[in-house]
Amino acid sequence: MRALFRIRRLSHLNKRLTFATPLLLLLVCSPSLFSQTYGTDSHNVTVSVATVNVIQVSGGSVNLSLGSTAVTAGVDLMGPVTNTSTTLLWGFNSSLRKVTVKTSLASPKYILKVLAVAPTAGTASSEVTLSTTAADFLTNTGRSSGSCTLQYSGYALASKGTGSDSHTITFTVAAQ
Amino acid sequence: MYVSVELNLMMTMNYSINHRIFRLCLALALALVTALPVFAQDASTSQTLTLQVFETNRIDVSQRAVSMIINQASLETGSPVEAVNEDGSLTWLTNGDNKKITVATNNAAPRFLVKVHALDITGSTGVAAPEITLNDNTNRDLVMGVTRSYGKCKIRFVASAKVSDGIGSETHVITYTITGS
Repeated sequence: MRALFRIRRLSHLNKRLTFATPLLLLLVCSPSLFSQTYGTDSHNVTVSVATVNVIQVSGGSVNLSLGSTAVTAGVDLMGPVTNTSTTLLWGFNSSLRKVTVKTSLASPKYILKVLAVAPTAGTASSEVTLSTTAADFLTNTGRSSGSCTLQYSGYALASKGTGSDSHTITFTVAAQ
Repeated sequence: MYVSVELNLMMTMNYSINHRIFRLCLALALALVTALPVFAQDASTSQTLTLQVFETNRIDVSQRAVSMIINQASLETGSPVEAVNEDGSLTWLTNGDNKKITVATNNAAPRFLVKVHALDITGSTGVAAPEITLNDNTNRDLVMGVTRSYGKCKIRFVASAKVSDGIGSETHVITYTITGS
């Protein structure tokens, strides 16, 4: 009985092996089987990178108040009062780029100046007295990303009296 | 053999489908890359700034201490000769309208006479009032018509005494004020 069971087991095993052998052969030989060449083709892949200009002011709006500080008796010019609470950030992938600055206010009552402080890339221009004509603010900023502090300075003449000026300051990327 | 042929056929079909899917994805990627200019960020940015100027008044006197000594007398009258001092100057600034500068002493009843006058006013606006006698501690007009201006003037003090006033000394604290007209 024991021998019979053994024979049956062997037979069963044999059947399994018989069935599995081709499969095993397939698996073993599969790399060569699946690697057969059915034909080749090729094409060109073109990657184009367009001009990217990113420029942004962070920190919101700015308020300057000129009062009793920074005034000298006998001198018409009052100020400056300064603000350094906002930052300019940029990223350009073109060469030969600069940033210009201007104001929307055509006839300001008071004097407003702006300076790029500690730019991480590019070259800061001299302090700009703002007008409606765009003036160089940062130069040599091509192919770079960076930031700088915006330093605004406000002045007033006593002879101009009291009041307020509202500006929209615009920074623009331009070809250098 | 049958199994091998069937597998080969399936592989060919899968390859063809996969190849088509790959080509489609690549085409979409290229379209996205080349379409970048359409989505390029703005080349300018703006911010709002307000500059507000409040009324400011400032006045300064150059001499912190003035010493005047009456030690001579007139031979004709026998009365002491006046002492004069014009070494000090007053400077001011105001961006307000319709201002004036007043002067006052803290001495309510001075023994010896002291007069003050603004001379040689320079600057944009301001007119000197007549010479002022500081015989009490009330405010007196020194410079009139100061509007949105800065200026400077010389301060002239004249001290005098009568023989009947005797000898002695007095100290005044003289205060200059920018105020409304």
